[in-house]
Formats: sequence, C-alpha cells, structure tokens
Amino acid sequence: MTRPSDEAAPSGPLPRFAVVGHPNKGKSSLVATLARDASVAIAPHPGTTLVAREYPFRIDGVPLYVLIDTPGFQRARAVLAALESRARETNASAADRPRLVAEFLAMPGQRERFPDECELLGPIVAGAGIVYVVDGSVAYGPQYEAEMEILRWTGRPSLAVINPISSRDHVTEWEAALGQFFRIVRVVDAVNADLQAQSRLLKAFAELEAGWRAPIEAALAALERARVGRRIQTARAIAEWIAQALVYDVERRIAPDESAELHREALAAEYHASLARSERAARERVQAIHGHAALEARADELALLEADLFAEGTWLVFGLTRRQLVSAGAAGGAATGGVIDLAVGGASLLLGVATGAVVGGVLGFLGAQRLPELTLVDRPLGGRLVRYGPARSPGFPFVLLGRARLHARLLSRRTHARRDPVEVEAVPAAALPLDAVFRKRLERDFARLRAADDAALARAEATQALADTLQALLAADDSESAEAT
Amino acid sequence: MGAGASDRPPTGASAAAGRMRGRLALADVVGLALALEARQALLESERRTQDRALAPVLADEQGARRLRRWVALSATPALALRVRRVVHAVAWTRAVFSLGGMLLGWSATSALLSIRGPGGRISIAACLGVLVALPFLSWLATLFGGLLRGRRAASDRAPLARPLHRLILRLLPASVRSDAEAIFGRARAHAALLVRLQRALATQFLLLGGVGFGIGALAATGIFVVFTDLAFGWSTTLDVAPERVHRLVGALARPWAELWPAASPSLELVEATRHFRVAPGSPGPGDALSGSSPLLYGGWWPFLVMAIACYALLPRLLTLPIVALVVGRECERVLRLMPGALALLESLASPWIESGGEGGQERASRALDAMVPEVALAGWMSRAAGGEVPVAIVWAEAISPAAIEAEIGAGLRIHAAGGRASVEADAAVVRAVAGSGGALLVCVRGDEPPLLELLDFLAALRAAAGAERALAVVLVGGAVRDLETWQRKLASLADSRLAVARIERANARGAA
Repeated sequence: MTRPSDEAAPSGPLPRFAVVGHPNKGKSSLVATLARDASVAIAPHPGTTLVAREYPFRIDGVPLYVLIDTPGFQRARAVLAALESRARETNASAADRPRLVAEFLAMPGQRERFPDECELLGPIVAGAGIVYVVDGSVAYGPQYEAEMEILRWTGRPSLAVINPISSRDHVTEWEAALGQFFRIVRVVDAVNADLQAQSRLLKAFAELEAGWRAPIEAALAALERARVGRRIQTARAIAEWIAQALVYDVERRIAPDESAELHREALAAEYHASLARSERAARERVQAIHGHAALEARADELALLEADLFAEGTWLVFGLTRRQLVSAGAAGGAATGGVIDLAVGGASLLLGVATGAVVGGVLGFLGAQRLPELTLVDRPLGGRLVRYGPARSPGFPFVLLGRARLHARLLSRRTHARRDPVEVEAVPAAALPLDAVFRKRLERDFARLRAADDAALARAEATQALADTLQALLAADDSESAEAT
Repeated sequence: MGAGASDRPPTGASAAAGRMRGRLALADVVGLALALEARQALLESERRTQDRALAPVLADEQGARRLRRWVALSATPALALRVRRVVHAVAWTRAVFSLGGMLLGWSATSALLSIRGPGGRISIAACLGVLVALPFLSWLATLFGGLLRGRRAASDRAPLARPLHRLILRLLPASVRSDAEAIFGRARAHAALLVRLQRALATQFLLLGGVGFGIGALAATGIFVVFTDLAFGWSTTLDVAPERVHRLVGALARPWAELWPAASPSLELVEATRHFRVAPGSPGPGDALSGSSPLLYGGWWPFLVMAIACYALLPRLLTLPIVALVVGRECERVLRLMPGALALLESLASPWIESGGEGGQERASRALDAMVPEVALAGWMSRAAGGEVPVAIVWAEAISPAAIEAEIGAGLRIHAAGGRASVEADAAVVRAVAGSGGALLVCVRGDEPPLLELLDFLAALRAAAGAERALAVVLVGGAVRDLETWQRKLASLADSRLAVARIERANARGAA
C-alpha cells in the first residue's frame, strides 16, 4: 500500500533546516508558526532556547523535513577568531572551511566554552540547510557579521529571513546587508504569517538543495488539504451549533392556576445561560479543530464574542438591516407556509407559501430584535407547561452565525507563535460582509432548519445543507483574506 | 475491527469488490452502522493508523461509495458475518411477504370461486372486488403512504412502517435482532435517520406481498378454470341496464382488448349472466342452471384473469424497481448522514500531519529578583569620576564618538570594541583602560540583547580595572522592556559596582 507521502518522501537524507541567528530575533516564533506547535518556548527576553530542538514534519507518519530551533549566537567573534586561527595554522583553503568548522566543534572543551554555538552549528555541520533570522525592526550592526561569516564557513545552503518584529523600519537596510551573504532573502512576519506566506517561505526552503523540492511540495499539498479539512469541520461545527440553538427552548411545569409571567425572568435567565454555554462549547470545538484548544483559558478576553447573545450591541454588529430582516422573515414564513401546503396536499394552491412569506416579512420588520416568546402549553394528560423559546426572530441565526464566523476567522488567521489574547478589534464587523447570494442561501437554510422542527432526518439534511453553505462562505472568507495579504 | 488494517488482509474485500460499483444497498447501511460502532471502541491513535493506512486505497471513491469500500476493507470476518445475517434476515422477510401474499391470494381466490350463489353462480362482482379492486386500492395506498407522503413528510412518524418493523424484529432470531436494529430499530444513534428508509422498506415488503397475492390469485383461478366448471353471474338491486355494466367492464378491459378480444366481455355475456332472485324460472339455491349453454356462464374467466394481472399484479411489478431505487437512494442518504460517517470521511480525506517538537524543551531559567540598578548618567558621572577623565568604550559601533561627546561631554577618552573589532583588539582595550583612572562607560545598543561575549568583556574589564572602579553600561536607545532585560542579564555578573544608564536614541542619532 503506497501513500502519497511515501512517494514524496526524500530518497536521500531528510531535508533539515536549522533556524539560526542572533538571540531574540524570532527564531522560535518562526519555528512555532511553521511547525504549528504552540508549545514552543517563546519569551520576550533573550536566551530562552538553550538547546537545539527538532520539529519533524510528518504526513501519515512519513517524515518529509525537519525544522530545528536553535539557541542564538553568543560568542560569534571568538568562534570566528578560533576558526581563522586554525585556518592560518593549517594553511587551509576556502574549500577546507566546512571541515575546519566540523573539527572545531569536535575539539574537547568547545561545548563548555561555546555551548550555544556548538548547539546551533551541530545540525548545520550534520547537513542541515541554514535559515538565518534577523529582526527587521532594529538597525543592522557589525555584530552580525561574525555570525554570518561563520555560517558561510559551514558551506551549507542558506537563506535569510527578515522578521519585522515591531516595525519594518530597517527592512531595506537589512535586505542590502543580507544580500551579500545569502542568495535568498525573504521578509516574513514570523508571528502573523498566514498560510500563503508560510507556503512561500517553505518553497524558498525547497530551493536550497536539489531533491528537497518534492518533499516540501508534498508537505505544502498536505497543509492545503488539512486547511480545507479544518474548514469543513469548522463549517459543520457551526452549522450544528446553529441548528441546535434555533430550536432551543426551556420548559417548566406550572400549577393550573399559576401565572406564566411569574416564570418569565427565571426561564429567560436559564435560556440565555444555557445558550451561552452551548455557544462556548461550540467555540471550544472550533478552537480544537484549529489546534488552539489552549485559548480556552483566555475566553474572558474575547470581549465582543462573549457579549450577551441578545444584547442590542450584538445585533447591531452581527444582525441584519431592517430590509434584510424582511427578506429573511419572508423566507422563513414561506417555508412554514410550504409545510401547510404540503399537509393539505397542495389544495391550498400554494396560498400557504404566499401568506407565510407576507406574514413572515411583516414579522421580520416589526420583530427585528424580538426576544424569545413565553408560551403556555397544555399537556395531553393534564397540567400545563410554560415554555420560553425558541427564538423566532429571522435575525437570530444571523447573529449566531456572525459571532461564530468572526471567531472562526480569528482562529484561521492565528499562528501558533502568537501568545497574546485574541484581539477581536483587529477584525471589525465591517470586515465580515455577507453578500446577497450567501444571505439568500442562508435564509433558505435557516428556514429549512426551522421547518424541520423535530424531524431528525429533515434536520440532519438541513444541517448538512447549512454546513455546505458555511463551508463555501468560509472558503470565500479565506480567499478574500489571501487576496488582502 | 482490528486496530491496524495493514496487519491483515482486508477481509471481505474480494467478496465485496464485485458489487462496489453497484447500487448502494441495505448491506452497506448495516455494515457501516456496525463498523462505526466497532470503530468507537478503538483508541484515537488506532483509528488514525487504520484510516491513514486505508486512505490511499479509497482515494478513487467519493462520499457514500468511499464509506462502502471502507467497510469492505476494514470489516473483520465476525463483522462481515453479522452483516450477512442481517441481509439474510431482510431477504427472508421479503420471501415471507411474497409467500404469505401468495398463500393469501390462493386462499382468497379459492374461497371466492368455491362460494356458489343461486344456480351455482359465482359472483363476478365479488371476485373483481376482492381480487382486483382491493389490491389496486391497496397498491395506491402503499404508494402514497410509503413513497409520496414519505418523501414529503416533515415529521419522524412512520405509522405503518414502525409497527411492521417492530413485528419483523420480534420474529427474527435473537442472534440477529440486535444487529437488525441497524435498519429496523429505533435503538441506534442513527435511528432517526432511518424513517424514510424504513418507509421505503415497508413499501417494498407490502408490494412483494401484493405480487405474491396476485400470483396466488392467478394460479388458483387457473386451477379452478381447468379443473372445475365455473359459472359466473352478476346481479344488483339497482336498476342498472346491462349496457352500462358492459361499458364499465369494457373500459376496464381496454388495456388488453386488442391483444385478447375474448377477455373483453361482450354485451351478450353481460346480459346473459345477469340474474334476479325472483324472476320466473330462476333457479333456487342449490339448483343447477339450465337453458343457456353452460359454457356461456364461464365466459367471464378470461376477463377476471386479465383484470388480476393488469390491476393487481402489473402495477406492483412496475413499481418494485422504482421502490428498489428509492431504497438505494435512502441507503445512500442514511450512509451520508449517519453519525460518525462524516468524521470518518474527513479523516480519510485529511492527511495526518505531525509537526510538533520532539523531546523536552530546555529553557533558560530567569532570575526574577536580581537587577543591576539604573542610574541617571549625569549624576552618576559626577559621583564616580573622582576628578579623572571618564573612559567610554563604544561596543559594536553603538554610538559615534561625536554623539557620545555631545551626550556626556567633551574630553572623554573613547575606545572601540566589539562588532567588527577582533577579540584581540577587545583585549587591548581592556589593557589600555586598566592602567588609567576615571569612571568606565561601556556604550551598547539598547535594542540589541546582551550577549555573553559582552558579559565576558565586562568581566575582563572588571578584573583588569579592579573591584572598586565605577563601571556603567550605557544603553543607547531601546525600549523600557529592553532596559529590564539588560538589568537582569547584567546581574548575572554579580558586580556590585556595576550600573546601567540610558541615552535616548533620538539624542544619539543626530551625530551617529
């Protein structure tokens, strides 16, 4: 049984990329982003990484390449001086330099004198390609030249990454300097690089040595498939959550002579709390799909997303305009009317659809921000129930969707190098437009879900239809996001 | 289901290969339901291993067909046996319905053709009612209830199908009953998805029963026609002219009138076979018919045979393939929507990517408390200079000589170290400043991290200059958090006379 990853597996030694550079320039951030590993130690103070750590990229267990996070140079000039001294002693030519570096590392006592250099040069001497990382927000200085010279001595293929940590003030200056030492120079924001930027960088990695292209391309194809898979799963998670919320209600038995109004407040509180809980659960599911399960601890910081579902602000941000509400209400009403038509075998001459559309549209206009209703239900065997919900407003599912979509978008853009809380403000609501085609499709899907009511098969199909629409919507979001970058 | 499909040959693959391209069937629903149940018992890692091993083989299939192939490849012999048992149970149920219908058709026809009225006449109206009209109406009802209504109904209720399937489950052997729940029952996680499939199946069973009924009725009629002398007749209390009855039966016989004219009753036959209880010369109960040709009274049988074939049997025979298609379609729908099926498809479609770090990560411990104090440069200079000219060492070209003089004051003795300077040059600077007096300032870039080579240099400087000589690291530029980083890192030198000061980058930039 041959897997695609087997075919792409390198026939020779595994491509290995040592990410090296000055301390605190984003080496670990770059590794965390490319390896999608939130456990990589990243800290604002230098010298966090003490030993080289490998991050093999495997598809179905087949390794395709290895990233190596390394400590930064600490005594580069001393190491270079030792190498130059050794070269003079042995009258070595430029061709001997890689051997000299290897011999230098093998000398007794060097690991004690130069622990960081030994850690970072070890993988390079063993055959790794070099990825040299600098900070594009600080000025170039002569202190970098010794390190770049040592890397040149190793004779290994190399590229440089300018990581603009806090600004791009010195990127041009760095490009000029690095161009003298490295054939390939790329500017990549290690913490915020989206999948396209990561792909471009990995393609540059593939250029370093013949034979590395196939495994890298296989890795990129797998990453793209995985992205599509995450999108499908996210769409389904959101669709299932909305399907559940649309029909959600809470009930309580009451005495025959008891007033239903007495229970309104308690039932509403229970309804809201329960809905909020299930929304959090849905979010956690989406976070787990994106490999950001740890974000759960920061849920309190999702300020806008944590806003009460029925708060007016939420409706203004995620809800529909009055006109759109009329349209959504009409679609829902038509679906309900359609059920009536079917029940009477078409004898109503489709009046149900027409009437439902008009009534739904009017209700949509009048009840734009309508809260769930309190209803009394007579039980067949006696007694009464008071029921709060489900929310019938045509805008309600759009609010749920808007919140879920915003959350999903934040997650899909988030790299594993980021340690800060989610900044909701970074994606204003205006950046989440819903074009007419999608709005119509969603109106139809929501109407189907509501019409399905308690029919499990119809609900399952309607949920799947909504998931398909959401998948297309999230794909459009992704491509829009890619175009923006 | 085993943990690793690659450990053993995929059971059932060859047997299933032949029908892989065919319509989706009940066996697939049962197989998937049972296989997904077994999958739940596996560890996540086992599921992943199995999925990734099978994914390349399944790459050519999509959707429900991929699921079917997955079942064929991953099913253990025990699971395949359970599936076969359920499929046999369904086949057995179909056979029971067909045979039961046949028996009923035979019995009903025999009874009708044996019950003789006045003059030994058999009521053709009763025969048509029971053997033609009733089956035809029941066919319409089955079709409406099972397919048309089933397709449109929004609710999960299946008033006919559910009791029927409960009955079937009860009749099945105990060893099969639990597995047969996968299609007949309500106990499974996917039971709610089965409503339409169950309706289609009930329709299929009832149609098969109807086909059996028609065949039984035809067979019995044939036997009676051959081996007995049948005398049909008709009567009515209403004042109906034979012509009207003739027109009615003529309309009924229109489909076959061209093919078999004898099977379309003539007006003479209709008139001759009408009888009245009180007409003169009418035979009483038990009396034999007389007068007319006895063969005339049997003239209805071709019509009866064709009516049974055309209205009781043929519609069902024509509908059965359609219902089979519906069953197949519903099987596909159930396969697609079955809990766990989507996750399985996604798992099969998505490569398993591992890119996390291996082994533990050794991290530098951070001294939280020790920090070298920050000082205001002017005040520190006035206290530390002791009447001697301060010495400034510019590390790695952090600031130009002109800029540092502008910042600190003219008359400084300035040296350069670090950066492009060699290690030997650093040592020479240390030696040079050791012999002189005055406070020592080491100017570094505040936005760069403190490296060990600088700490080595500071340690060498302290050793050469003596423990009491005032020594300050002057950060050129950098943010507040950079200052803290430097304070903490320099604290590792444990130098009590060491201080940190800052020069704003803006001040230094002009002359740099």
